[in-house]
Amino acid sequence: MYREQLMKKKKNKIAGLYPMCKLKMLGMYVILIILANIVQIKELPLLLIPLSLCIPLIFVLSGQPKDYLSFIKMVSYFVCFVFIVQALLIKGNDPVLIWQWKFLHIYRGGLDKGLTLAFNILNFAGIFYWLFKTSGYQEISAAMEQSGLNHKAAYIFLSTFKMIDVMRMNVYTIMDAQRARGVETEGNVFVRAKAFIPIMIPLVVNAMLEVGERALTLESKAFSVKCEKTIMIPATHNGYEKIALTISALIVLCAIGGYVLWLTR
Amino acid sequence: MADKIIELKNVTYTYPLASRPALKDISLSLEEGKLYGIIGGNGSGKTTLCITICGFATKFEKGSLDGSVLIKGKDVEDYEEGEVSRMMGYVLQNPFSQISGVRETVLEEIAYGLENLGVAPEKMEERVINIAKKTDIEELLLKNPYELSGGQQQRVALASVLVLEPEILIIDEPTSQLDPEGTESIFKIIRTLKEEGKTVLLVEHKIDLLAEYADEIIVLENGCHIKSGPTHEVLIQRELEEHGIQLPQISVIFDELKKRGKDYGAIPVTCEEALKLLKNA
Repeated sequence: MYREQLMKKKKNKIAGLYPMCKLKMLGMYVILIILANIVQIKELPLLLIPLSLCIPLIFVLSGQPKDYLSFIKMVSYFVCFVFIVQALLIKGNDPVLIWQWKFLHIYRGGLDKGLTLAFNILNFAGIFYWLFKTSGYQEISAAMEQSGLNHKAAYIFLSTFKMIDVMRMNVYTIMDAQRARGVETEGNVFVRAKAFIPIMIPLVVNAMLEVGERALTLESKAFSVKCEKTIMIPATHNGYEKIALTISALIVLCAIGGYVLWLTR
Repeated sequence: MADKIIELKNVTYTYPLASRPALKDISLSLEEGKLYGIIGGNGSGKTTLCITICGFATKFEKGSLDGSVLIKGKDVEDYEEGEVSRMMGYVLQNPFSQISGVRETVLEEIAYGLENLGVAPEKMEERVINIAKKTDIEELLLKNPYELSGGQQQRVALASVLVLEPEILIIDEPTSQLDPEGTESIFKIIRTLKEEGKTVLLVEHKIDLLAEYADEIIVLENGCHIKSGPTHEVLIQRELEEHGIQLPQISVIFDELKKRGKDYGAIPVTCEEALKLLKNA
């Protein structure tokens, strides 16, 4: 009865796709990003811009538009910073001035670099974020294991991602403990910077100490027993995988066709 | 006489880079189906003894081991990879470390060992629910193991080892984070295990509970095995106090009364024994 609850299928057909199918779709999206980088319009990778608009569309189709908003909130400052720095500082080998205002100049080379970096970050990070928001780490790992990945490799994959959450929880515990000892952890940038070392050292030391105990834990849970492993909550297909893959493949084929036409124009 | 299930012959173990051994020339013979309490002060070698018996001391800690550890007559080093963990369960002192870190619910966490043994998912669920009932954590099954309190994590840690149904259980301070009620319930589980014929090695500081539940006591000090024998026989020896071992309060009281001329004929180690003596007096 608990298994049934945990294996409950997602209502949305795209979000509920089998993780390996989503991985293949992600691979196809990467092909589109590569093509958009190669195809230059006015010597700029302008196709990356409309391509990055596909990310919110994918989130909306997956029924998780709020996740896209949180993604954009996370990356927008960084992306803008990268774009501005690249655009304003790089001249390129053959400088062609595009825009000027007082001491600020934007050359084609800089704009090219800025656009390439900023929109590649948006596209790559966006599609990976979509994968991890629509499929849990455990679900992806289960699907990979079901597809023949060694269980030790699956453990490494999963524990690496899970470690982030665990360390985040540990940070809060350590912060509470250090606050109790009188360490200021809240306030301006300087106060926070001062608290960095008393928080980071115990965090890293604890993590290192736990490695040994984790090995004992795994051994006591029969991790190294040589037999065919099973999964209590396996990743499941929702039946729309073929359709999703066919549509994705058609889009990629059209893009490749467009690229060939562009090459032979 | 019961069969010997674990034998230690002149075991000396030294951790890498350590200047002195953590275990010194330990020889022990443990019988099947008995509950052994391991006591000693901090740094006396209790945990090292546990991991040496499991074979983890050489496999993971990479220290040097002299002498031999025999499990069912076979050297622990000679067992194939993973074979020991099929018959021996080890519950760590720190319940936080006992969490695999790769499962999102207590249900899956407990089932992780069964997944590694290749048990069918339907059977897994049945076994997990049974063990959750036994360890009183059924209401936690759908919670994240990291969001539990220390005591709850300790129960989950115990459950995740018990579910594998090992013949031998090594439990390192299972009640360190539990309140008296929780402690009592863990000991009840341990008693059930003993009744099921499992061999249990229990490291525990709560001596009054060990006096009640353990068949035999092993006393360690500075890595040396200083005493062992039937619980009652060991726990009435006042000289153990010189080694930093706290004896059951009831035995200390009766011993003091004896010294003051009030002899009840024997020194009890449990309240039950004391009541019997008082009734008969």
